[in-house]
Amino acid sequence: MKKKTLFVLLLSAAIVVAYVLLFISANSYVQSVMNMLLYNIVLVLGLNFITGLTGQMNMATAGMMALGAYSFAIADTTYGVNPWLALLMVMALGLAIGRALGYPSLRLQGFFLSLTTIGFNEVVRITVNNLTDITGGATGFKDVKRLPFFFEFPNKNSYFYLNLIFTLIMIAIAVLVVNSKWGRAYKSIRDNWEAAEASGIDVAKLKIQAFTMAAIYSVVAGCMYAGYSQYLNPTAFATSYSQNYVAMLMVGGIGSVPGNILGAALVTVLPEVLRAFQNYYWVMFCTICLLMAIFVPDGLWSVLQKAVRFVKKKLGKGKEVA
Amino acid sequence: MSVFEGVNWLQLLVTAIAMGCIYSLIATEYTLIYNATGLVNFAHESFIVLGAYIFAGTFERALQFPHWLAILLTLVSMAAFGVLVASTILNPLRNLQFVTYAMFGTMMLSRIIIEICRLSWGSLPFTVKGFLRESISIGSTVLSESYIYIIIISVIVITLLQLFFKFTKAGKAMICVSQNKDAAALMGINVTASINLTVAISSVICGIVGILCAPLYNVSSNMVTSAATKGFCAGVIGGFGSYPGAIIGGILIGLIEQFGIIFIPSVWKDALSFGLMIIFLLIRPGGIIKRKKA
Amino acid sequence: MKKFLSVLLAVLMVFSLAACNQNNNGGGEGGEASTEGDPIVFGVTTTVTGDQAAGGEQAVNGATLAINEVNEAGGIKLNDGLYHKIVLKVEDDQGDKVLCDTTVRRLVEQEGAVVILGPYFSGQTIALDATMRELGVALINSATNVGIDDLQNPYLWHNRCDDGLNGVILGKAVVDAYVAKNGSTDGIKVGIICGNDDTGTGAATVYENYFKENGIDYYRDEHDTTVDDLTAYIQKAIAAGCNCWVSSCHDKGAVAIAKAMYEQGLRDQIVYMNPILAQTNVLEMMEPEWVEGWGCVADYSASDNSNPLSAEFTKKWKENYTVTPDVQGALYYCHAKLAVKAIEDAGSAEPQAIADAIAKISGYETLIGTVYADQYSNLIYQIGITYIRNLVPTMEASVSMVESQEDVKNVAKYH
Repeated sequence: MKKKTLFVLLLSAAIVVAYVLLFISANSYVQSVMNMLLYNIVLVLGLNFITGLTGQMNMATAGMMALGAYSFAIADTTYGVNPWLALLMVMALGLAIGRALGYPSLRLQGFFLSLTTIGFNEVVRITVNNLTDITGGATGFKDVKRLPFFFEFPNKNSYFYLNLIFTLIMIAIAVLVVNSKWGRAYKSIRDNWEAAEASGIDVAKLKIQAFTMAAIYSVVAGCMYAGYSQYLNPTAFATSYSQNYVAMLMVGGIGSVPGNILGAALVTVLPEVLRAFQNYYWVMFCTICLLMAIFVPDGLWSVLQKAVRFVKKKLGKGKEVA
Repeated sequence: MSVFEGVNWLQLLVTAIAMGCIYSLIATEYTLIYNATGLVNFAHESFIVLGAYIFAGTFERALQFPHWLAILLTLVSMAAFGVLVASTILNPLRNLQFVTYAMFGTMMLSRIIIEICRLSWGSLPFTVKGFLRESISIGSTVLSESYIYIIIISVIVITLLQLFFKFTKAGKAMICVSQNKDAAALMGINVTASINLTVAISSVICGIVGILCAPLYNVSSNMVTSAATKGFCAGVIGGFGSYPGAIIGGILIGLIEQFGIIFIPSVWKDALSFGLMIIFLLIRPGGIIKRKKA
Repeated sequence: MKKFLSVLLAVLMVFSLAACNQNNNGGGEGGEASTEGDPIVFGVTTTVTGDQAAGGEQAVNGATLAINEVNEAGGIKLNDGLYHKIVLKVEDDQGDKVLCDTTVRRLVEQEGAVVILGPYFSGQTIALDATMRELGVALINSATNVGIDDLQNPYLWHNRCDDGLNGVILGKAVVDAYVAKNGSTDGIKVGIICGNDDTGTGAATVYENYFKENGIDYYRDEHDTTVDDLTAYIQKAIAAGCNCWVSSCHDKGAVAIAKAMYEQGLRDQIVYMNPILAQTNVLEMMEPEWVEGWGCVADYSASDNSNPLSAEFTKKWKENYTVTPDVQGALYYCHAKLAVKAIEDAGSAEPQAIADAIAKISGYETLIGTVYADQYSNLIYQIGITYIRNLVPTMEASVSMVESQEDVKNVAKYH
C-alpha cells in the first residue's frame, strides 16, 4: 500500500514536471490554454464537493468565482490592500458565501436548490454589471494588480507558476478531503441521506461544509483568474459558464479527484484541438456529453477504472493458465 | 411634477399581464414534465426556440405558408418532437440514479437543440413580417396586438388543459401518473405512453410560446433566455408542481417587474424576479399554493 | 491499477496539448527562386457564431474583398524585392471577452498573423490590452469605446470615428433638430436610452457629458440587454418628460426600442442612434413606420453615391456577394486596406514595423474618411449622418472633425 502511495506521488511529480516542461517549450497560445486549465481544475475540484460528493446541483460556480475575482481586484487594486491579505479576505468571503448558500441547501432538495443557485449566479452577474462605479460595469475592471512572487512576472503567461502552485495545493487538499472520513460521509449523503442521518452523520453540518469548501475553491480560482487575466468583465461569469464547469465534472468523473482533472482537461483542451470543426464541434461535443449522461453517468474515469480492472483480470487469468 | 403623473398605468397593466401570461405558459409547460417524470426540463428554453424557428424559419420564411397553416404545422411538428424526446431521452434520464445526472442531461440536450437551430437556420436574428405587429388604440392608450393575442391564447390553452385533465381518460391517467407511478401502472395505466403524451403536450405549449414570442422578441437562439428563467421563478413562487400556482406566479412576476422598475433603475429588472424567487425559496419553499404531497 | 490510469491520464494530457502546440509556420524554406515571396498572414478574430454573427460575416467579407484586390494585382512588394500575396485566417471568438485572447494568440503564434483585424466589441478590445503589448502585433478594428484611448496602447487602433466624437455629433444633431422644429431649446429634454453593455454604457456617459456641458436638460436610464420587453422602460422615460432621444444599442436592442416607442404612441419623434440602426439585418426586423425619419451616425451607406470610393466599393461588393454591404463590411474593407498601406509604407511584414507604420499614416484617403493617426488609437474623425426613409438608410451629410494632421490635437479632448 505504501509503495503504491509513493508510486502515485512520484508519478504525479513526473506529470507536474512534464507539464512545466511543456509550458516552457510551448508558444504563448498553448500557454494560455494551459493557464486556463489550471483555474478550471480548481473550479471543478470545488464543484466536486457539492455536486460530485454530496449530490447537490450547484449552478453558481461562475457567480462565486466572480465574487472572488472582483473582491480581490477591488481590495488590492482600488483600495491598495496587500495582495496576500486581499487573498485571505477573499477566502473569508468564500467562507461566508458557502455558509449563506449552504443554509438553503438544508431546506431545499434537488431542483429547488439548483434554481436557487441559478438565481444567485444571475443576481451576481447583474449586480457586477450594474455597479459601474465599483466594478467598472460592462466595460470591465482594468489592470488588476497581481500577487507578488519571488520574481516579477514579465508577461501574462508567466503568472502560470504561481497558478500552478495554487492548483497543486488545491489538488492536495481535495485528495485529502475526498479520501478522509469527510469524503465518505459526503458520499453517503448523496447515496441516501436518510440512511446517513439515521447512522448518526450530521447531514446539515456536512452539507454546509461542502458548500463552504466549494465556495472557497471558486473564489480562489477567481483570484487566480483575476491575477492572470488582469481584466475582469461580467460576461465571463454568466450561468452558461457554470454549466460548463458541471460538464467538466460530469465528463471526467463525479466524486474522484483524478476524474475531475481529466474532465477539466478534456473540456478545456478539446475545443482548441477541434477548432477546425468549429461549426460542428459544439453540437458533437454536447451529443457525446448527453450520451454519456445516459449511458456512463459516472464519467470517463469510472470507465477507465473498469477497463483497467477488466484487463488486469484477463491478465491475471492468463498468468494462472500459463 | 410627480414622476408618476405621466405614466400610462393601463398600458403597463396590459403589458404586465401579457408578460405574466408568457411566464405562466412556460411555468405550466415544465410543470407538466416535472409532474409526469419528476424531472425539471432544463431544455425547455430550447424547445421554445425550436418552435419559433420551425414556425418562422421554415413554414413562414422558407415555405411562405399562410399563418394558420404554419401555426398548425408547427404545433404538429412540436408534438412529434415531444414524443421523440420523451421516448429517446427523457425516459432513460428519469431512471438514472441521481437527479444531478438527469439535470446535466437536459442541459446538454438544450445546447444540442440550440446548436441544431443555429446550424439549420443560421445565426442571424430575424422576424416574421406582418405577424401580430399591429397596434390598437383605445383612447390615449396604444396597445400592441401581440399582447392581446398572448392574453387570449394563454387563457384558452390553460382552460383547455384543465378541461383535458378533468374530462378525458388520458388526462385523468396523467394526473394518476404524476401522483404515483407504481400505483398507476398497477391500475392498468400505460405509464410510458402517458409520459410521452405529457411531454408532447408540453412541447406543443412550448411551440405556442415560441410563436407568440416571435413578434415580441424576434427569432434568435437566445430570444427567450430571460423569459425561460423567469418561468422557473414563476413556478417556484406560485408553488412548484401546481398549475394554478404556475399561473399566479407568472402574473405576479409580470406585475412586479413592470411596476417595479418604475421605482428603481431599469437595469435591475431581472434581478427583481430572481431576488423574489430566492426569498420565496428561503421563506416559503412551497410557494404561494403549497402542493399537497401524495 | 492506479498506475495504468495515471499513465493514461498523463499520456492523454501531454498528447492533447502537444496537438495544439504544432506550429503552422509552413513556408520559409523550399521556396522557388521567383518574384513571389512567402504569403503574409492577416488574422481576423470576429463573431462567426453568436449574437452579432451578422457583423462577423460582413467583417470577413469586407476584409476578403480588400485582400483579393491586392492579390489580383500581384501582391505587396516588400523591401526584399519580392511580391507577397496575403492570406486571411479567420477565428471565431463568439464575441466572448475570454475567448478572444485565445483566438488572437492562436492567430499570431500558430498561423503567423502579422496584423489582427477585429475583434468586434470594445470590451474585447480592452481585454486584449496586455496581450497585444506582449505579442507586439497591431490590431485594427471598429471598436468605438472611449476607454480604449486611456489604455495608451501603441498596438490598438480603431479605424473609425469613436464614441467621443459620435457623442458630440449625435448630441449636436439632436439639439439642432429640436431647435429646427421648435424654434429654440426651450423645454428640451433628451432621453438617453442605452443598453447596459459596453457599447451602451460607454456611449451614454459621452452623451451625458455633452448635454451637461451645453446646459441641456436630459434623462438617463439604461436597460438590461437581455430584456427585450421595454414597455415599462419607455413609459418611465415618457413620464420623465423626454421629447427627443439618443440611443446606443446592439441589433436586437435597437429593434426593441423602435417597437416599444412606436407601440406607446411615440410617433414623429426626434431620435438619433449609433450606427447599428443602419445595419441591413436590423432594419429587416423593423416595420417602416417604426423608424421613419430616425437619424443615426453611419460610416458608410450602400445608397450613397456621392463618395466615389464608397460607390466603387459597393459595386465591387455586389459583384462578389449576395448580401447587402453594411457598415461593418465597409469598415473591415478599410481596415484590411489600411493594413496593406502600412505594410507598403514599412516595406516589411514585420509586426513591429507594421505597428510603427500605422502610427505614421497621415492623409490616407479611405471610403470612410481620411486617416490621420493620433498618438493612441484613433485614425478616423469623420462620420456620415444618415436618415432612415422607408427602411432605407440614406447618408445626407458628412461631419469631419479634422481637416489636417494638426487638427488631431484639437479633438483630443473628446476622446
